[in-house]
Amino acid sequence: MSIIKVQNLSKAFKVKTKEAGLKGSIKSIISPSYREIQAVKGISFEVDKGEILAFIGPNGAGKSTTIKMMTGILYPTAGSIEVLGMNPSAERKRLSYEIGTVFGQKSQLWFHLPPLDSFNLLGSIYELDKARLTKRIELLKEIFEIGDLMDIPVRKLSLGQRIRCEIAASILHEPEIIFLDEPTIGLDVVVKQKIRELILKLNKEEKTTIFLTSHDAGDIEQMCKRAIIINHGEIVLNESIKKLKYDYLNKKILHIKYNESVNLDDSGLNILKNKGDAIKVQVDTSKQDIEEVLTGLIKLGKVNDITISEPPLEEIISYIYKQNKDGDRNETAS
Amino acid sequence: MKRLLKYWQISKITMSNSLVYFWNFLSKNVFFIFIMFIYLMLWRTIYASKGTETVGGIRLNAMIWYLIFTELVTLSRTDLHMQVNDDVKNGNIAYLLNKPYNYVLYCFSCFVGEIGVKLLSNGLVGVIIGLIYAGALEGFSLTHAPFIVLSLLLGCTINFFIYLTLALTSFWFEENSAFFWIYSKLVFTLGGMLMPLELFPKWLQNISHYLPFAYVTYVPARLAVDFSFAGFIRQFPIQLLYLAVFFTLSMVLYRKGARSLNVNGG
Repeated sequence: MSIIKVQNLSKAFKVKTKEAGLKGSIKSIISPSYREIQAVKGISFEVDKGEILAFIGPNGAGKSTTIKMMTGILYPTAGSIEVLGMNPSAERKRLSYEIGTVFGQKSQLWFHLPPLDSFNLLGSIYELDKARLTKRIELLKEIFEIGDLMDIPVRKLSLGQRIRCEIAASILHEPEIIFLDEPTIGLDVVVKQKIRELILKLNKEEKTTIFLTSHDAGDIEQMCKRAIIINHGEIVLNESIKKLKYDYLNKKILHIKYNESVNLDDSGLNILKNKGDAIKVQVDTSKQDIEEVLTGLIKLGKVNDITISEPPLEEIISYIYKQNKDGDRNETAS
Repeated sequence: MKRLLKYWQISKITMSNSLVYFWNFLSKNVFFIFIMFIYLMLWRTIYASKGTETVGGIRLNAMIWYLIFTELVTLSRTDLHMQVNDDVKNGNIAYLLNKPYNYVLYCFSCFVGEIGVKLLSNGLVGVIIGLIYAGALEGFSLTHAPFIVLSLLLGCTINFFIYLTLALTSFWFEENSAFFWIYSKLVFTLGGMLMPLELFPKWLQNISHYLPFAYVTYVPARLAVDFSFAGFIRQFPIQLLYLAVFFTLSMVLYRKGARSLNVNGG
């Protein structure tokens, strides 16, 4: 069942422009000029209840603008959005009781006060009963392991501790959907992993729908089942992560370790690394049969170890961005 | 009830946050002591050169206390308008709008939390300065105090909503700091912060009495030094009227501004 429906959504911004130099500065006072920027261009997609969706794209692709329209902060120029059956721009306040937001680079906690003060305030803002709020804080303290941090001013917390508190604060009112905008930005690998586990736990235990934007391929790979890739305000791909990895580049990496050196001169393979007795080969499964390639490689010598891996998601995403960019260039040229 | 309670909680947390800066507020009072000392020297010289007991019908003792009250309103001003201004300009406002509250009332609740601490610390210093520089306020009665405090609080609130209204113009104007500067100078002059309106020429006095600036500083300070129930009953409703005007104006500007919010990028 879809709880987010976006249809032909567009957003245009008017941006003031100015020619360089003193003449340009004077001209912009007398007759200011503006340019219209199409941040989002007629995108459509749906999100199911309980889904963890990755909404990814390079900087300036239109991700944050789309999230801001879905949370009712920005008014769309055209198209329609339905979140939990509500129109976000018309029913922003009502919708805000049902959604939570975490913007990795912005804090909703009061900097000089301990997180508990912010939690109590948010409890009042979301109109939670005292008993329900206390119970909820206790539960979140346990899930997010933040019990010891509750009385320490936020400014004294590490980034990882603060993000844990931020996420806990954003789900205090048990929202049905949580929008996470770069939740792991600036965190070290261990803390990143912890945050990912917590988000997965949240999705599993509370059936919260997660709408995630991130530049970190690890976030997407480990948490999401589906990804929407947006570039220049348009959706360039809407696929399951599995299908994305399987289909998109059709490439597998084979690492084979032999007992002795082997000869690959006439193999016709794309050899990425050759140390004689250890090779790394890339196979394009749309052109070559992997079984055939594998059989051929096994026949070359006694195999000690063999690994078949997929190219990292990061590579796939950057390939898609690049392809989209090249497509734009060709379009402009024609 | 819960809908109102959330605004009280916002005020409470702002108050807690302000207490972190309590010593900072107190240290700022050094300026209060200094500026009042300059005023004392200036007005002593004016009274001495005039050779009269009163100037514009006001005695030196009342004049010093009058200036303490006008300074109290001005120095207790919060910087929330600057925060709102910056939030609108750099797009941070987007992150404040996704909560179930009214943004203007949210700002007002923050003001309530801050003004309490500021008025208390400034008021304490103001009373000590007044007692040292001018002695006890002549003709002051404790029974008048609640009405004076009420008018003073209203003056501070009108001041806040005028600043908020000006800050919200940043939805449309890239650079609006001149508005704040002009407004502060209007309070300084037509608001009677520099000197009571009685010292102005008659025609300027008449104009000033119709403008909102006098209801920010002059009216509460004049009531403090020369209280009369007739004066309170005449001027307090006008203060309420100006409060309603600027509150409505800020609500309208916010509603219109939020619709045309232009926040590009993350």
